[in-house]
Amino acid sequence: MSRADFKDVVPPLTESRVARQYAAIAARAPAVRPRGTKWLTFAVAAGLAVALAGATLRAVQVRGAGAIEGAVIESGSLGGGQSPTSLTLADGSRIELGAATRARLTSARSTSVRIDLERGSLEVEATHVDGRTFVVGAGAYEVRVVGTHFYVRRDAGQEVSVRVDRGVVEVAAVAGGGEIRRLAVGEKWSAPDGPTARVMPAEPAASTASVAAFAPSAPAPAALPTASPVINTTAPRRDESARDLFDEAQRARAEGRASDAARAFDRLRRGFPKDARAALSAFELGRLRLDVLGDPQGAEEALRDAMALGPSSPFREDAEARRVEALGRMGDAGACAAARSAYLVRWPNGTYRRAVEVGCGDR
Amino acid sequence: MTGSKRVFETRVSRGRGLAVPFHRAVPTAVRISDPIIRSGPGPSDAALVVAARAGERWAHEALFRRYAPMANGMAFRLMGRDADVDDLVQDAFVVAFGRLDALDDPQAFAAWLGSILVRTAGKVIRRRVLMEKLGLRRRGEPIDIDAVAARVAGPDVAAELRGIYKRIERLPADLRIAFLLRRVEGMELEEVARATGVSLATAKRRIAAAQQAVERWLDRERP
Repeated sequence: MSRADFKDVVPPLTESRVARQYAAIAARAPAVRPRGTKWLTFAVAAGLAVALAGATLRAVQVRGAGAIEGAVIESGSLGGGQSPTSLTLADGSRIELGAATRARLTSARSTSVRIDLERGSLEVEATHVDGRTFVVGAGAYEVRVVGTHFYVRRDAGQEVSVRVDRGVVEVAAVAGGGEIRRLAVGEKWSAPDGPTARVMPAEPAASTASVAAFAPSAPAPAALPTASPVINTTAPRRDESARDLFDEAQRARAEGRASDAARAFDRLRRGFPKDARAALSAFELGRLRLDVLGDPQGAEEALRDAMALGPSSPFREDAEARRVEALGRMGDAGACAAARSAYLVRWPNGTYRRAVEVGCGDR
Repeated sequence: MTGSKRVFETRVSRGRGLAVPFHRAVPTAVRISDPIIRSGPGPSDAALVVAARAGERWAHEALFRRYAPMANGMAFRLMGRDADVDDLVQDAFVVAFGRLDALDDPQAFAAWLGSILVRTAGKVIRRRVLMEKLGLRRRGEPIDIDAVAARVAGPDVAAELRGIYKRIERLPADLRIAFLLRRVEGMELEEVARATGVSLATAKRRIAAAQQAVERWLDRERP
């Protein structure tokens, strides 16, 4: 007899028993409090502390991991001789905020650090840690830290620029298309800020410039690597919430109605792009289109959207890998190779590495 | 592992946690559409964990419903009686939901839940033994494997299970858990070590000790 046979031995599990168990769990589970609420409390407390101290140099030592994720760090105008706001991570990495800067500490884990710059500028002194990624997101671009000291500026809606003072960084489009640009010491790069992007070549090496002399330089971004297909979908009804749509999609999917599920996911991500479920819905839509509906082009579009809606989501790797598969099936060799390179750089030991390597059919 | 599909199969490639034997059927094909990571239909585990961390009640319920069959089955096989299952499953999920922030790899929820359930089972068994010693609980309550196994498993499985539970009932909790994970759950030694939070050497020692005890009883029972 095989051991696996024992797995068939399970207690009677009726719907009423499952419901009873969950009711007991829900009653005993700790009160659910979104992280944002925690951070609102933290932010208020921190603000009071700063106001009381009246310090000119505000340094925050960050030692936790999940607990501080999502924190927003902001700096004022830095007038009147104020020193810049700085953030020091537990590994010694130091991030200094320029004037009028707002950034979000999206991830601060032992395996990954990610800071998303909403506006202003950051100067980063990153401690090298083996096996840890360090990324600064700036609109549609990402700066991946390979070396140590660099500067990122984002003028929202106008321009994103990067300068490397020491070490090496890589700049890539969040959506995964286009070239991944490696910047070495003294190199600087910039591109117009916008919802989508393509990484353009860097400027020739130049001496390290001051922040004030850091001028925009790159040409306007080209079109997206792949055209967005026309999506036949409807906007959410007025009385329809994101939750309704998500539930509807789940129901439809469980009942085998893939097209209905896809429509609901599509309406959700388009109608509620700021909802927490939007990125997930785009990802699930991509999976449905790719696996069930035989629509790799539509899948590619949805997966690209998933990556843009949730640039640091836990299914980012899945979305990138699936996008390689979709592009491979579409026969778009150039875009597929670019997406493959992006995946392999971002996830050198990724779960899908082997599949992605052969996903474009040219290896 | 048989070739049959199990909706709770998952591959634990990163992060800590227990690599439960569910992942043994991971396909070797290279197509991404092949279910390297399987979480059943609907959102991935990672997505549900993220939503649950963000305070979405629906995500808690979705995770529970996805893994209720796995947790109930594992709890039943670890405890050997249906009466203990509800409490154990509920305890494990309450702990898991309360500590979601500690889960490094959200896609590894199944394995992580499994390890919590194993450790909770150990505590329940130790508490039960203590209550028996204090006279607060009747010793040797019958194992109701027959009631379940007869319906869902073949008679040979039921007979073997009966024999196993009869012989391990009086083993210390640590030995019993390690033995069941190896013998009934079919885990590799490394998996048993991870699930119970001990070194590989300790896991081997516990399994060997339990095996010896079972064999001693078998010798005694032989005519």
